[in-house]
Amino acid sequence: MKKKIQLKGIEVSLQEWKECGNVKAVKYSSNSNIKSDKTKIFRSPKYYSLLY
Amino acid sequence: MFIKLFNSVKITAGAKNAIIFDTDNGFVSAIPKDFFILLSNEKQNYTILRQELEADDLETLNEYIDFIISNRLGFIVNTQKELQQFKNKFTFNENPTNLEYFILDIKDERDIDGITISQIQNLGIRYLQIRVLEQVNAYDIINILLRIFLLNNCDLQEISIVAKYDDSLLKFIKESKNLSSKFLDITLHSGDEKKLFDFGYIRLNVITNKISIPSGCGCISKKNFILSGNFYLESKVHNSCLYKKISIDSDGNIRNCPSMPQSFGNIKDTTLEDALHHKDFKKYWNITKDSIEICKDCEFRYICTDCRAYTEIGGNNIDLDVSKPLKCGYNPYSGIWEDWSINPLKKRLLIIIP
Repeated sequence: MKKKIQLKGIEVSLQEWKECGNVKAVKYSSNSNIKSDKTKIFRSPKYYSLLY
Repeated sequence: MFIKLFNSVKITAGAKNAIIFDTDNGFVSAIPKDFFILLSNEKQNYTILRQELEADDLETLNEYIDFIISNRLGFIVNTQKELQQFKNKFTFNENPTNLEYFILDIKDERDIDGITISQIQNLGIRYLQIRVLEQVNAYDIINILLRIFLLNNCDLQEISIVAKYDDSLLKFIKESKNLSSKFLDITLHSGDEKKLFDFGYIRLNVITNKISIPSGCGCISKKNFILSGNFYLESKVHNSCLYKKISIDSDGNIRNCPSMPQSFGNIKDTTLEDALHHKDFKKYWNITKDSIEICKDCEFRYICTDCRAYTEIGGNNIDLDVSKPLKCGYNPYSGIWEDWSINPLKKRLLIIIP
């Protein structure tokens, strides 16, 4: 798996995602895990608001 | 000979112009509408077409084909049988939660309270934006940031924070190592110069624009286009701004977005879930750009974010407002971008809107 992805033109690392049937039980990694090879961060795919 | 566009490549025609864009790499370009018509028909046989064309037109057609190949937007297929081997697989990945986006306009740290946090958790909200009103001073903004850790146990993927720039605030953020366990995207407006910082889990963007909350929202421009496959698909079936969005304005009123006129109750006596089940709450969720006046004739309609709060007939008491976003300066009939804020008709409307 690639370690980096390109979203909205900005390179980010990915935050850990545990496969889980119940969406409420899906947990994300804490800061200390961010640099792990297993971690993933998914950033907002669209704008929250169009302020500028 | 046939042209097969890659699965990530999409074309859209407007009244005057057409565009081609690649949702994988962000490529976007205007194309002639004639070319759009050719590309729309996947079964167009270019070998036969070439035989029928005059020399000048043949040269143009070859330019079109070269444009597709050289920009890696598609490839040549020799036979129709071969063409049929490539299936178009592009499906909208729906998030299983009822809500995804939550905008919280706040004037002090008490607005991030236990009741609101537990509702964010229970509703499975993924993206939270906290917009601090511009009159809040740096000391109080720091107090707000110090409460962000209360959201650590929520299933949020990212927290976006918008606040007014101050030197002390920038210094505080730079020196803070453990504000949150979430990814933070902080925008400080009204700064002296543009700066972008990356502190690992914090992305900090200082901009010089002055932002008024909530009235500064709804700005539509080329730089706000989103070239993502899922956004494109969502825009075709749902409203690109309000779908799965909820918000609380600075007075505690629950709305689709803080600038929308209709309130679904106040957070003091109404839960977000109750508001969600109000008969009108989802009335704009499936209003796509295809049903919005003028936008429906625009080539950018599937990569642009809609706005239902500031519209060209905004302020009028109508059931369903499908007029063009007020803060968009593009005219799809002329293909020209203009500064919407100096348009005298739009300026007049902006004064009327509260």
